[in-house]
Amino acid sequence: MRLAIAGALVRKARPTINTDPSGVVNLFNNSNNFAVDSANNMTIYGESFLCQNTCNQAEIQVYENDDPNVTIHAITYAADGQINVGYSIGSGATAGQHCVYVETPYCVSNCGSYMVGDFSPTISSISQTSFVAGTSTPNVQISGTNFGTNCPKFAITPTAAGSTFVPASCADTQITGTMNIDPNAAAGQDTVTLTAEGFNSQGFLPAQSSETQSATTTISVTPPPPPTVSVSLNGATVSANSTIYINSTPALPLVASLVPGQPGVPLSGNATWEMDIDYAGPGAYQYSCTLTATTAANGSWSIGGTFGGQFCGGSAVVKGTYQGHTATLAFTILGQNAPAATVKSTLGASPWFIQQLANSESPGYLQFQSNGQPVYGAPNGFGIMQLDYHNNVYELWTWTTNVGDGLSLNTSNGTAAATFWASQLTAWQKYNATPGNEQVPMQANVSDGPCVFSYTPSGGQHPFSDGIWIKMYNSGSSYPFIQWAGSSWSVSLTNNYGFDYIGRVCSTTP
Amino acid sequence: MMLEKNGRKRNSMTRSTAFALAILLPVTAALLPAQTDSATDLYFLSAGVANVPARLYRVAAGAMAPELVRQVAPGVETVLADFDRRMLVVASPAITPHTFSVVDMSAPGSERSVSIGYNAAQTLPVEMYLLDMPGQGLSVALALGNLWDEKNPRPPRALTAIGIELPRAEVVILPLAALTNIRVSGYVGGGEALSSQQVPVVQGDPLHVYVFGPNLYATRIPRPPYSPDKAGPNPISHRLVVVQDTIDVIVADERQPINAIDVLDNTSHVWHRVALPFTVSRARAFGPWITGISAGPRSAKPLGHSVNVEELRALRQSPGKAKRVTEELSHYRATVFTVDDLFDVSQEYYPGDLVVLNGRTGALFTIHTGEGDSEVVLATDTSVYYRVNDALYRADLFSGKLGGPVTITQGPEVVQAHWAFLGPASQTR
Repeated sequence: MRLAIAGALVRKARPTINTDPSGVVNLFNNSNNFAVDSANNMTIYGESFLCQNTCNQAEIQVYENDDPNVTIHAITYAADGQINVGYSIGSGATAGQHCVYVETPYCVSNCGSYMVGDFSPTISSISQTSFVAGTSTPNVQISGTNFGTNCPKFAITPTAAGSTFVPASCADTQITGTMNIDPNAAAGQDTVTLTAEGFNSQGFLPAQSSETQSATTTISVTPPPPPTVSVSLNGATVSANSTIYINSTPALPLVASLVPGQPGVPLSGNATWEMDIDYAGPGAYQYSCTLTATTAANGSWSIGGTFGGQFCGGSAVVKGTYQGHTATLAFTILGQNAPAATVKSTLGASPWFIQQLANSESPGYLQFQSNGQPVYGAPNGFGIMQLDYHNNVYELWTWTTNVGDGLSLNTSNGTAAATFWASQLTAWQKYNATPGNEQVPMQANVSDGPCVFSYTPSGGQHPFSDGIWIKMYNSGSSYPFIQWAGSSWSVSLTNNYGFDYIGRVCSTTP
Repeated sequence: MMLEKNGRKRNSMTRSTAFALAILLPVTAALLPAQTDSATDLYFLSAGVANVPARLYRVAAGAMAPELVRQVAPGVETVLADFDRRMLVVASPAITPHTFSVVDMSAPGSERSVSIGYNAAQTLPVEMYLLDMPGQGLSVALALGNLWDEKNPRPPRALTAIGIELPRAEVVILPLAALTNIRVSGYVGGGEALSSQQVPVVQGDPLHVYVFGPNLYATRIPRPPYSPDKAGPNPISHRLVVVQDTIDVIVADERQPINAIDVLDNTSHVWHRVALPFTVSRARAFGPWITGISAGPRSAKPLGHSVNVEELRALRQSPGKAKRVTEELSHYRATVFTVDDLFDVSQEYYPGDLVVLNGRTGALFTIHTGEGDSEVVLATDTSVYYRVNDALYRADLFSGKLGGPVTITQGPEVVQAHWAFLGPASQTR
């Protein structure tokens, strides 16, 4: 823009602007550098600006005619060696060397050179300085200077690569955007680095070499609250300290999962699981079992699957560990009885006494008491088959395991009883075959309750070996029902405290 | 406890009993450290009940507490002992013994076992023997058969044997005639301990071992000339309770009270009968030393061919019941099995008297313990070791007398200690 100054033309000396950087001085920063998108005053130094005092201020003009984005305002002060003017450098100004001229009615000065470019950005504030890992926070305002109108680039360090600041609107002094903090960001101070991109397609061009492109500010990152454990049974949430039941199948389709501590912040990586179940059994006994698993943290743990069909009960605590944090949920597991007909079907009908034996051990074929705890018989018998606890806690809480193991024990007893009876018959035959020995007849039939045991059973009678077999379930091998005593038969219906187990079994209805 | 004087008169059918000693021992023995030979420790084997592990313990000289050397077997059918050869063979498991764990008294810390496989559903041991096979050393032999299948009984036809002293033993089939090499050391005490105790019946001259069936198998032992077989179709009247290097012993059929034993001195080859101060059962031998336990019937009248255990419990009890009921051997569910249960089902009464005699010299001693569960577990030329309930005692022989008892050890480990021997001292001593 050229300013016309009226006045008589008098030939005078040519105005001259100093050619070194002192010729054009930006009063904003007292330098030869001018920022794009800025306005202030400039002072031009030289000589002969006032036509050697023959022309006045009104007769001279200062202008720049290279860049329409630069406006030189009216002279506010003029002397022969100095002129003060205002200026405006628009955001579209071309960065680089510019010229300002002083023109008198007689002559135009040389180029008063000055540099137009970008100044270092500065961040004065950020509207929110604390963020939770894994969160995305919109409308975060970053204020400062010299951001340019091109949206700067942002980097957040030293957090994980997932942390970003995404500008939504950019202005030279304020940027509004969304702060995204990586879910795995470590707690602590992070640095937000803004890299200015200038005002136009030229990008950031420093007004002078000392101008830097970046500015930083700090934010604090805190981890999200640890997740909590959620357990469900058949889709229904299991509440803390509630009671659930192993059903009559038996089944316990528990599922555990982690609930993120920060809503919307997904869990990543793996979670490790442990379920401890303790049962303070009768007397001084303490039974426990532990299940473990590793799953995706955002997945779920099928506890029922890990049980694998054999369950244990008592006081349960599910522990989910995620990134060093362990969350727990405590509840109680008890049991429900299967229908007697189902148990009897599982027991089968062989040997003939097996259902009577089971029903005598636990009348009604009950695995659990009315309070949901295993049926117990002193000193250490549990469940339908009243199995002694031998490091298999599942026998206490899984009726199918209890019955299965009881059947296995009974089958083993059957083999042992048959062998024992064979050995007794051997000894008896040997005795009778020894010359000089009085012949000892076979033991006569023995009645015990409604049962009759015989060497030659008939009509509902049972072999002696079955009596041995039945008694073994209660007394082991210590008190055989019948044995060869060297020179006579020895029959023992009871054990050493007078308990007639065979009679009880025989008297029990299946 | 009291060592009673044996006041018997000399029996005309016996060699003279060289001396019979009377030594009064205090009722309660002083709890003093054992004074065994400084070069030896006392070892004892605890075994006897089918489902209770057989364990070897050591009592170091000067110590009181038994130290477990090792578990020898998980359960036991019987123990075959040979004190002359210093071997114990633990047969396990009960009823179907197939594994034979060897305790070498000269190297008790070492483990060795052999096995004989068989199908227990087809055959079971009708008898079990310890044999001294020429050139083979000691062997275990099973007479396998099936006597319970009435339709197809299969009596033993041979011996299935395996050496226990050979470095690489193999199972061999021997004819029953191999019983000529039989070794027997007698019964152990302690109620009805052990499922079986191998003491064969014999007849003939030389003595023949009866297995099953009509055939008998000759030993090298001549019959006592003063004790011919009974006449008639049932000539067997004796049991061969000891066949050792120094002596052999036979006793009368146990259906009769045993008040005398017949001893063959294998040096002089002369039989002699030793009258006993009381009726005994459970004769056994340790080298030349023979021991027995005073016993009698629990019932004054014969019990018949079928005995109800509940009725036995009502019969007179051997002394020491209060102590025995506290000595637990095993438990199953609510049933606790104690030492007293062994005595409860026994048809014999044990007043608590022991006899110890030397089969060569005739020296005879008695020991009165007053406790039914008493037995001699070892006798040497210098000491007698005996068990009373859960305590082991030693009485030293000195100048022809048996000294007072010294407690060697006491505890639950001892209640089933039926075998003891002096072995090498532990290295820590």
